[in-house]
Amino acid sequence: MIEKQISPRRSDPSRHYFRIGAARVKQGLFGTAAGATKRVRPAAGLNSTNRDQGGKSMRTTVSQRFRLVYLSLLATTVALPAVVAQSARAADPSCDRACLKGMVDKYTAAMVAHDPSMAPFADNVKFTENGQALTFHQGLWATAAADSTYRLYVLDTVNESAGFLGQMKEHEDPVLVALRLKVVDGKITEAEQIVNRPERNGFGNPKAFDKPLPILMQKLKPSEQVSREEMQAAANHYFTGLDTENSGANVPFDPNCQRRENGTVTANNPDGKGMAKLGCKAQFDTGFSVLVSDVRDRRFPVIDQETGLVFSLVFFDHNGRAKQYTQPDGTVVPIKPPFTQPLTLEIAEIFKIKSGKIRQIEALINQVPYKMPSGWN
Amino acid sequence: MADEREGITKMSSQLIRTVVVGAFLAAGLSACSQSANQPPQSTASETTPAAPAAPAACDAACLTGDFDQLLQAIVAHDPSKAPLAANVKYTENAQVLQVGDGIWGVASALPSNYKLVIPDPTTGQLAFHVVMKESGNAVWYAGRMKVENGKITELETIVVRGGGFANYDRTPDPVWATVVPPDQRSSRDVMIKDANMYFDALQDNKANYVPFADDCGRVENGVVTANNPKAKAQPGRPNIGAMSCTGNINSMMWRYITKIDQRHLAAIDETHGIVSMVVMFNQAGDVDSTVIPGFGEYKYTGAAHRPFNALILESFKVVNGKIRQIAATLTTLPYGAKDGWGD
Repeated sequence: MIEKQISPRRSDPSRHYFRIGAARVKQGLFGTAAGATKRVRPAAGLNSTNRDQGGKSMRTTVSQRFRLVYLSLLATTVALPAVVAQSARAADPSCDRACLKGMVDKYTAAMVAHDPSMAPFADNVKFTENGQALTFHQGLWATAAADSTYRLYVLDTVNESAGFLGQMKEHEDPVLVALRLKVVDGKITEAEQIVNRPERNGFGNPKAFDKPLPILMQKLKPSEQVSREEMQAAANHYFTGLDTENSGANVPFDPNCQRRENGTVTANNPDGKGMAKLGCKAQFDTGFSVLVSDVRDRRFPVIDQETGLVFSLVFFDHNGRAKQYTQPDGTVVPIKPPFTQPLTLEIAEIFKIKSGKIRQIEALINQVPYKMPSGWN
Repeated sequence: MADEREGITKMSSQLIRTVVVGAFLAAGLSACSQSANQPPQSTASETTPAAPAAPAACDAACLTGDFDQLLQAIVAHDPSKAPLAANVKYTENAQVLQVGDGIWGVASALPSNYKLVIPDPTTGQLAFHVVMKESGNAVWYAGRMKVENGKITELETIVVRGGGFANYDRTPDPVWATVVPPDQRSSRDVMIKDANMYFDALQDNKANYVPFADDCGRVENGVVTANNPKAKAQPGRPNIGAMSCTGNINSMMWRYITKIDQRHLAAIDETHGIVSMVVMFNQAGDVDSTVIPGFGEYKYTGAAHRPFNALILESFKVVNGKIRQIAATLTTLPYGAKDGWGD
């Protein structure tokens, strides 16, 4: 069997992103023997729990639409029985924060129990895992063995949607899970999850998922909150900075911005070296992101003004054609494998937007076939 | 089995016309009746009685010539240098791409050490397994090309990148190049049936009914995975790789392969006795263990215990009614993935 891995690279700016491709052969998918005996030595840092792994990188995506549904009249209609009688919508109050959080909790518990009847699914619910339409008896629904203790929620009462990041167990192994739920009339109508099976797909630090960083969960003061549109725009600027601008000039980074990817601190890491030690903006300003050919299918489906969190879903395509990039000081840095061959990363990226600035980023990154669509276009 | 039939049927309109053959009836396996893909030989005149005469067919040399042109265009990063139809459909690892993207943008060397080509003038298709290079790195490149009216209209490909389960230094087993004497050839129907029996055997973990030659060998992504005298036993498991093609499957080791669907014909080279099919292996990840005869319970861990799919081009050399050699090129995909050629 093939077990691709993405492993962090240290220091060398040319390696700042991360490395995929250190792979090892396990028992051979259909084969064994000769295949099984041929092992590729994992790269240094593979599966490391160190936080100072350098250079990982950023993922992003691109774009797109997302509709805001405002339910501004609910409060009053609920209070007026005569009106309620005329409004089917009002008969089912919108899902508030506790409700949305409960949806996530019921969903993950049902998954571990392998019992979809434990979650309030609409009859026509659509479910995807890693971009593929599945039933609730397939994928992680068939293999989940333990729920996540790390529970990062993004709750959007306007969009009646919840975002979630956790680390569950698939049989005996930890897997990172990003989840998006859409709720209509008290039922889950859309469930989209990305499962990063670390041994197959990703670098990362499974031990980094004890509990969410406090800064992510903190409620913002009213003076620190900005509009939903501004929150989305800040996140989108991040992706544009990587996609077409190759610079942090137009990205509203907080000076203390820090990023974790699959549990590894990959920007503003005080213990890191090279790229990982650089701040978010300084990293962008190196121009490394010429290796990202497209930040595609950007979605911002869950926006939580109370905590300032934006839950985004995107794809980073790397067409492999860029040979080098030039840093602001004129240093030419060659681009190295695996970014010299086509490669796509499916990413759930959660931004903490404080006073309009990107203060913290928590991301799940999953390697998928080049140019794979999300299943939701 | 219903899934396989559905999968093949869905493919049929675009890939090859399908003729359902009760292939397994003769083998007494009616529960495993198969759909087989057949060229529209006898049906063409029936379905299009008023159609104008077809242009001269592309014979084996024509197909291989088109394929060579295609490879050169890919390495030149220039689709205009290949005889592509304007509406050519291209997939790479089951994703629909524009020609010019994917391997087209980074190919850096033509095949050298490994080039196995299976031309099929009857269907106008050609299957291939080659090792070439992308940005200087070796890759397995395999797939199915279809030519209609002198143009490539379909190109379904698999690219195996990176380290992983692969050996890029392989050369083709000489048996692939041998011409099968006419009296030792199987019919197209039988060859398709043989290939399907292999996939069914992997699903059923029982290979006794598969007509393997005693010296049958299998190479997957360049790695010898059956009948390999050099295979070494590993602690805690039997030496599967040293087993015969029959024994390898009968070992029950592949019980975690839960379904093989989306099967469709890539090509048949009647002269050389080769049948090639594109298939999707599904591994649900919910099979915890197997029992290996003579060994005992074997618990799955790691990749064998996780959901994933594998897209595979698998070619079989059939001589005297027996499967003599198997070559497979495969890449992993997310569980539940489709091959990109269904409805």
